[in-house]
Amino acid sequence: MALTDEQLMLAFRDGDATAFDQLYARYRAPLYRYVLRLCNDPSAVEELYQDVWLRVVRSRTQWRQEASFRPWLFGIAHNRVTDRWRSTSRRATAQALDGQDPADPITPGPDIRTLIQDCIERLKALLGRLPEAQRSAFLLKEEGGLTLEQIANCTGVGRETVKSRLRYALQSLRKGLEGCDDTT
Amino acid sequence: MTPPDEQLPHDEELSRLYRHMRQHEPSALLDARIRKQARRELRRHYWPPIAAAAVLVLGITLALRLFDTGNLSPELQPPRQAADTPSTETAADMQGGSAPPAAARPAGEVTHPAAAEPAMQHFQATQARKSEQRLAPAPAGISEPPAGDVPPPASTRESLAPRPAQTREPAGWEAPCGQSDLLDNPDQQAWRQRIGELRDRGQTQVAECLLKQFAERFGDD
Repeated sequence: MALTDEQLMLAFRDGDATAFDQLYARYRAPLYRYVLRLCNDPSAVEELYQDVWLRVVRSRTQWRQEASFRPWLFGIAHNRVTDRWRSTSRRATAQALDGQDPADPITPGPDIRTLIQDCIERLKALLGRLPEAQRSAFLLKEEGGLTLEQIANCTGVGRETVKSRLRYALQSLRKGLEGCDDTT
Repeated sequence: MTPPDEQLPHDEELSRLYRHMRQHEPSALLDARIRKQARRELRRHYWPPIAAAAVLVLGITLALRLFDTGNLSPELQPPRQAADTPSTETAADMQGGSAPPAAARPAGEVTHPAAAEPAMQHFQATQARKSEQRLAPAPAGISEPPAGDVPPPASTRESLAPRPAQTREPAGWEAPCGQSDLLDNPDQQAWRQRIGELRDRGQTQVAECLLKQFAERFGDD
């Protein structure tokens, strides 16, 4: 029987390095993508991602048994990226985007694979254009698999605020992805 | 995995499209760097208590070692009575205690010459010392007893040990029963002859004393 995230974190707190390896293996990919999509700055992703894990490592001594690991981990990532937003201008991020109008419908190509790829590229761009709060809520749900309550705790807002942010995010994305319905 | 939250706004088609974007992962190099960093942090956290414990153990070990060494120093050692007893056990001790005692060995088994040699040397040295003590001249201040004096008590190891000059020794110990000319005489026949002469002269006590000395020195034959 596999240990839960919380049990692994306790073992790591008590000095078991292999427990950390297991935790890391579980969350390396979703956490990396969360930071990547939320940060929108490829040059800073590795540094931020590494910093999140370092904070996990250094905070292990304060870990409490009743805490839930997943929202805690994504909460650290959310705070770390938010700090970066505050310290840097978003202008550079906006310039990095492809400049395509998200409202423009995609013209379906003859090849379905090309169409899917186009839709993915469009989704990436749309995500990058979402307001940070909406983007974070969307990514916490998709990559972190967090519940409404957990997203609210992570981002420090109420449940209704999270609901509202998610609704706006989904509307914007759907609007920009018209024509992609058949590809999914 | 967290169960789906029904209150959470959701778009299944959008989620499916998003899952196509999940090919990004951290590089192996980044993975290794983070794992290494985690281990380094663990070591840093646990090093001070471990180091303190190691120092404590080392200190206690050193103190015990010094204490043991002090107990084993020759000045502090009690006299080893067993060293005077020649046996193969002594040889076993000198060989690191690996050889079993002679009594424990099966009949016919011979102690290895190399193992027995130190014991034999020790035995010979001890015998030589005893012989010297027995045959040593009387310390200054002790006069030879006159002939016919009371013979000395039965020899004991303690009585053979050198005594301070002020202590009066029982008569006849240094020279056998007052017969100083027999002191260095290894000739058993001379001893027998003297005993016979003493008996003939009626000095039976001295003759008996000399007989005891003879038996001690040459055996009962």
